[in-house]
Amino acid sequence: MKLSGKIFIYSMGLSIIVIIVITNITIIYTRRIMTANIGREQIAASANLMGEIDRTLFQAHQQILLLSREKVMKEVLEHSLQAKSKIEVDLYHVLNEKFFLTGPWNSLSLISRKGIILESVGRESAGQDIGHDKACSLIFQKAIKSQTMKVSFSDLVFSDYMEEPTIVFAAPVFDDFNQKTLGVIMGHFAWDAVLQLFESANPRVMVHLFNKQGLVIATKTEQRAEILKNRFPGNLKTLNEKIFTLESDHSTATHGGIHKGAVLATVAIQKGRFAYKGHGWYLLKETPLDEIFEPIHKMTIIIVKISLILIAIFAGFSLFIGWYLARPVVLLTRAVQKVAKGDLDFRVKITNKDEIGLLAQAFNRMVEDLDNITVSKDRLVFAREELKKSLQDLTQTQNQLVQSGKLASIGELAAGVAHELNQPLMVIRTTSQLSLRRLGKDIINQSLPDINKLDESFKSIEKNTKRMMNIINHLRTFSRQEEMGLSSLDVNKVFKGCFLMIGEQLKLRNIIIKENFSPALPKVSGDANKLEQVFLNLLSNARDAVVSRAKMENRKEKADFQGEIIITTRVSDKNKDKVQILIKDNGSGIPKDKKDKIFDPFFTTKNAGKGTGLGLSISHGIIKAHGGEIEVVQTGAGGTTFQIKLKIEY
Amino acid sequence: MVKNKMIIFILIMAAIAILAFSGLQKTPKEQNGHPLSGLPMKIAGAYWPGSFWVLIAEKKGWFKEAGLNVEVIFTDTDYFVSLDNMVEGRMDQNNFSLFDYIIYLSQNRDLVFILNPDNSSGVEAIVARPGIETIHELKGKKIAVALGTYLEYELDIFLENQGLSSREVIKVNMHAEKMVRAFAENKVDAIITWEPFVSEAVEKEKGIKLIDTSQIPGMSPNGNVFHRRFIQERPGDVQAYVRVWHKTTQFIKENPDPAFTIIANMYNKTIQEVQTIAQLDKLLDLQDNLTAFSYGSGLNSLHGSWKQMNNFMAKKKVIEKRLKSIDYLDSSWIRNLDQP
Repeated sequence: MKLSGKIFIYSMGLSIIVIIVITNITIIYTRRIMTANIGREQIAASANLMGEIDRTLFQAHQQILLLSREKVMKEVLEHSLQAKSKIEVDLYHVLNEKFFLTGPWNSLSLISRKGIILESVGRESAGQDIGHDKACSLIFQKAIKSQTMKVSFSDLVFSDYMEEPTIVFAAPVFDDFNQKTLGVIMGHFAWDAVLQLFESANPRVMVHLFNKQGLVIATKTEQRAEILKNRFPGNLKTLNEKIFTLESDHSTATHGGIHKGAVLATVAIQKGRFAYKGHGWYLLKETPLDEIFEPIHKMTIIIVKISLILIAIFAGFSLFIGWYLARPVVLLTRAVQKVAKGDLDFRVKITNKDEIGLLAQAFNRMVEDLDNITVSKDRLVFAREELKKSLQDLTQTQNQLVQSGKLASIGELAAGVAHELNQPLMVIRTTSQLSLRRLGKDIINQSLPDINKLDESFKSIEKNTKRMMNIINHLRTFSRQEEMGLSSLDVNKVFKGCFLMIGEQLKLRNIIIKENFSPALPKVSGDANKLEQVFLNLLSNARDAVVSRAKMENRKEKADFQGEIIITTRVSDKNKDKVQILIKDNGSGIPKDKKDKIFDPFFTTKNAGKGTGLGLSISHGIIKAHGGEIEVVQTGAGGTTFQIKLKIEY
Repeated sequence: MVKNKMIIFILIMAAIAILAFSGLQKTPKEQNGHPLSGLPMKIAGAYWPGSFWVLIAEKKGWFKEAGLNVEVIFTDTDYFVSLDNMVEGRMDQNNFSLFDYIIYLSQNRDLVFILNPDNSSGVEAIVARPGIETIHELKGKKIAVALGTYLEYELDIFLENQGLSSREVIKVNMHAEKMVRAFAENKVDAIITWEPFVSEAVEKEKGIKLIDTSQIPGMSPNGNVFHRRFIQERPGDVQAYVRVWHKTTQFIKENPDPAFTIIANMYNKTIQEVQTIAQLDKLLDLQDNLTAFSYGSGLNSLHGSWKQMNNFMAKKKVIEKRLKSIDYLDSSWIRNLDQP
């Protein structure tokens, strides 16, 4: 997976976890807080509504009391009691004015001590007897019997007189000395004023006012038919002023068919206000639980929506951040890949000033350094071609050197070869001269030539001629410049070939050749011509060393010195897979300080003009080319021993 | 380069976030949980201060903005014909004086009064002939009045307000349009009529304006009335309608000149003319309505006014049965506006 993808996934995972945790915590705590707040609001709302009812009824209570003290009321009642002449006061006008300034009333009446309605506003009942209305009559009796200025009032009752539910307030009207009850001022409270308080914006919230008997006395306008008919389904007195849940069998809301299921209920118990002591009513407010939790549900949905939006935004940011953060790494990766492929001119372009930027700078510096110290592939190819060419040149030069060495050897051998050729020539000449002389004697003697002697002479000539041809052929072969060709060969035979070239020279210099050739010597893989060149070189060096020592010995007048070269061929004791060749002379030896340089090209211990310094160097190269070894195993005053090891061919 | 891309990316993300969050805001598809119907709504509009808000809201496009498909029916030609049109179902809403509303209700029309946008504040007045300076001086005098109408009701209120009983004057039954002529011919000592007859009596006949409706606030309230069935079927539309009223009323109170300019342009009047007629009518706001709809005894409560009118009508036998105000004055739409 790409780095940007990883960053995206990690960022997303982290943000989703954080958002989910925050969302859940928010929802849980908000639910708690909102539930508690709603509960408190419910209780406060119920108490407020109950207080509003108390305040409204207290006003009516106080206003009827004040009306009972109005002078005009006393005057009218006194006139009615004393049956005086027609009163000058427009009682209707007075009551009408009070009707609209107090209350609110459905009707306002002034009633005589005898229970006759003297005047009434709100209902045309003047002259009627209050006893016709049971509820009014009861309160009238209480008021008329009151010895103090106290307001009597009913519970909510259905007034036959008013043809609707009302609370009857009545206050006695006393004379100026407060000793005699003149009559009663009675007001039918406009219960609609209380009902209007039950109007709620939320139709699902149910509010019921119950009297002590559990009868519904107030509710919403649309449920007004329940008033004084329906009853609280449970035991009203068990309700307290705390918030609680009502199940459907005790819920008035359920009972009224408003909704199904449990409700959150609060109760406010009427406390009254000052002189108005109240009726002991219960106010029950019921809100369906689903209604209460609706804001929480809405809030939850909003929070979830916001969370989803945030996650989407985070996703976008994560993608971008992933790309943004991974981009320099991607660039660096590409750069590394390019450099790895050999493009040391490539530089990463990152201008960030953070750790990645520093890394990019360091990388660029590293590539620059690498560029300085590293040869590129092209340059390597070029160098390889150069080296190849040089090697070819060197090889050619080396071949030329070998050839030169050969030619030099031939040069050196030329005298020996001439001697080698001279000897059979001398034999041929001598034999020819001798034969001619004999033929001449025979011709003179006119005798027949001795056939046997002639045959012997011709055979000698033929033999020496053949020998000369062998020497010449060998010399031609040796001098030919050829690529090295490996073949299975017998080292002993190679040495035999050498003796053709150098044997006579050694005899001429009185050097004895001792051949310790192993008769069962295994064959080796090699180039006979090249190996012969090596052996000839070593034998020539041995010859020169022996001659040099002989001269030194002669100067010391030691005539008994016998130069010798011992050639040994055998299977190596230490390395059974190799043939060991030892060429030992008893010459002057190699000085110790020059022993390590004898295989160096152009190094020679011989006098100027006598050696090229290439012989041993070329010999070393040839033996190495054969996979063999060549070394001086012993040198000193007693002579030198060269050892060559060649792999046995299997 | 990368910085520019980052800025563009952040701006795009911010725009998406703003769009997404704005999508969370409630679109006006419902009002207090009630859906908007999208059906046409025929409402009344007239060159009358209590109707100015309708014309301004329509001009401003605020009904449409609230999701209402409103068609304004101009009722300038004849107020009573427009009331008949409304109660017969040819309009969904009209502006009634409370007195006329009760009259129609007494004829078993199932209507609901939901809004009290204005109170008459000087339109009706008592104009007396020169020499009569106070209401008390009307005692025993002939006053021209259209008996059984709200003019007689207002006359009684004016008299009672000054401590005079209606029985202490002589009421002469007369149509309002004929009063100025009778006044000019000295057939009556005073008239109670409405503008422009009040101004005509004062200016041409040298009459004295003794009192007008501006001196007793709430004695002649006007209201927006809907069919009950309409309210039951389209509560969302009604609530949206009341919200537009609230918005427009606030606009008029805060920007009277631009508001009256709209009316002036619409009726080809000068702004001064519009301001003059606006002074004859008190525009009520939300708080005024909450007070007016509260149950009370006095004229500052619609229920108090209702009772006064009810008693008057019962006494004058205009209606046979008293009607309960609480059944026909629906304060819930106004109260809903007051909810947070």
